[in-house]
Amino acid sequence: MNQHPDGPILSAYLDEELDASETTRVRQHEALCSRCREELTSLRGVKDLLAAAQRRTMPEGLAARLESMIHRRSVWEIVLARLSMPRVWVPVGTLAAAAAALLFWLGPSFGPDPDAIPLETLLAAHARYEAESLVPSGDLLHVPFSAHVAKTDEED
Amino acid sequence: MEDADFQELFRRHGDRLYNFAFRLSGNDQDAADLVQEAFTRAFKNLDRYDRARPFETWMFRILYNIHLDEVRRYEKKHVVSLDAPVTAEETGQWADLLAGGDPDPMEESLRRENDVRVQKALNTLSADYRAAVMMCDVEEMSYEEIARVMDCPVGTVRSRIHQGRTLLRDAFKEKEGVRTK
Repeated sequence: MNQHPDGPILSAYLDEELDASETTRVRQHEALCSRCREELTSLRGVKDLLAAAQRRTMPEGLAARLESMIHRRSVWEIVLARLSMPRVWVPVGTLAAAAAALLFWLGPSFGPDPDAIPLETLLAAHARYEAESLVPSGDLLHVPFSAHVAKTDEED
Repeated sequence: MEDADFQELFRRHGDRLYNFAFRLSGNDQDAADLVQEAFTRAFKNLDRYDRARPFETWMFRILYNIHLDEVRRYEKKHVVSLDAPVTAEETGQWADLLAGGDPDPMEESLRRENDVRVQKALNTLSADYRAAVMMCDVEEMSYEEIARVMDCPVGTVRSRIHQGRTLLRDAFKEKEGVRTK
């Protein structure tokens, strides 16, 4: 290599970023060229200076804040992940379906039937009327109504 | 990626990322903001992280892009002259900055002082040069990795690193009255 290598080539040589053939060429040139040797020395000086600069470490407060952020997200993610799991939703869905079926099946017997006759109230009234002889005595529920009618006719 | 993995990666690379952020921004407050924003964005976009690639390169890229956005926003509002000379108090003597083997008891103090000068010299570089030189010389990343972070060809990385070093050298030498090439 008779010509001086370009600056970026020298920097790349310094950083061992050239391929084998380029490295050999620059090395041979360096051995013969004092100007390029000087250039390399001064560039190496800058590189060494930067490498020797004090390294900063993350302040504790910042590290704690970031750890806390990661932790908060972790908890939230765990909850969301669990909720999205089939092993949670399959049994929940099955239970919900079973409960719905049960309600459907038991539905008619739940709550007051709007068509139901208030039997107890009627019987109480009947007992009162019977005591006052306003109605025929006897078991109204089990004796056919026709029997009561026949009995009443005979009495008349 | 599980959050526990992320936490482990955060612990492993947090300091390195912070150091990079500090050198890019030049002060602790901005570095802390940069790192926090970078981790927050990374955390929100974990599903976009390509596990085949190094986590660190991904994080450096996020942080670098945030920094570039901030620089562009700032430059829209302010006129910044990159040619503005650095004062002698800021950079000191070029020879003083080179590490020596002298076990002087004041070595630590000088090292801190030199560190400040290095930072002030770095601050005179544009964001691209500064980031390229920092990733190469401080973080010891390969040109390939730097190219991935900066989203540019390796040839561009090579130019930026060389140009950055040349500008730094000139900034230091200028204080000694040495004519630079």
